[in-house]
Amino acid sequence: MELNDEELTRLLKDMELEQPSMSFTRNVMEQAKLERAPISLKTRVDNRIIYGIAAIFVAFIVGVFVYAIANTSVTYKLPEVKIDLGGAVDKTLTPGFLAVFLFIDVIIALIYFDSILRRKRAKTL
Amino acid sequence: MQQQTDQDLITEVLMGNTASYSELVKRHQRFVFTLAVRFAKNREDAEEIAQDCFVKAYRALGTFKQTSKFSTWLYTITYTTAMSFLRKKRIETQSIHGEENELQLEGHKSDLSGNLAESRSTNKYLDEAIATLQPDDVMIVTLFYKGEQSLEEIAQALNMPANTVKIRLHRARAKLKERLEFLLKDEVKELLWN
Repeated sequence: MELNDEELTRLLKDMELEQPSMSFTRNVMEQAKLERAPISLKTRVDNRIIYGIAAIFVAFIVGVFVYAIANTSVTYKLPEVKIDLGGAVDKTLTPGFLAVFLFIDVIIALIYFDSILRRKRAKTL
Repeated sequence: MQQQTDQDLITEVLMGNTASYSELVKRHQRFVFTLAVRFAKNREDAEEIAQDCFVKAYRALGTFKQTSKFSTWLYTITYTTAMSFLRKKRIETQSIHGEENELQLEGHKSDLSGNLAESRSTNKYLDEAIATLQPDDVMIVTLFYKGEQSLEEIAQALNMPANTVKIRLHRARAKLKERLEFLLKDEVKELLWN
């Protein structure tokens, strides 16, 4: 006799569950009564306690960090950079060029300042 | 009236209404007991294992994280309890009653064949075929087909990868098929002779 997959699955799905004795639940409950009543661990640990401990740790770490920074002297020397432009800058940056450059800068600054004032005025209106 | 979920009952127990636990026991006792019978191979031991499971579950109910189904958690306890029971029994049989237990096992086998002679139902053949499987495979087959547990849930209960569960289930099915075909063939022969 040959069983196909479907028949086997059906047999397995149809298999009967065993039935324990009639006193099973009563026996379990009698044994359970002897045990300490279970309490959820979630309710036993208050979240405020956890946050309090966390705050202490954070404060301690920040304190150590600030103290360490306050007591540290950092000395750093910028490296010297020498660029030889071979007199090109001297030739370009003539007093006349500088005057024109600064004049344009002042105009740009005034335009920008004007736009800021206009924006502020529009907001107040 | 809507039936309370397992989770509702657990909450009630944890709030102090310990009597609600009996409802959980009633709900799951048949399945836990079936698993225990498959492991222990006799009803007395199975009843002891199943009771032990529910007491352990009651004791640890506060630690149940509710990330999985209560049934999955309970079957994990069933599995570990049954395995330690078998281990304990194996040590006892080896050290104290070696020969005596061999006789008992033979008696058990003849009991099984006696039962088979009395009732030639397919369920009996299925029980006999399942009895030939390894304990882990018995658990996998029972949980998958009767416990409505997914491969992932079974893997969680047995603490093994889901892929391993899948392979073992496939092999167990093949073995069951082979065994059932053999047993059912014999039955056909007996019917012909009678």
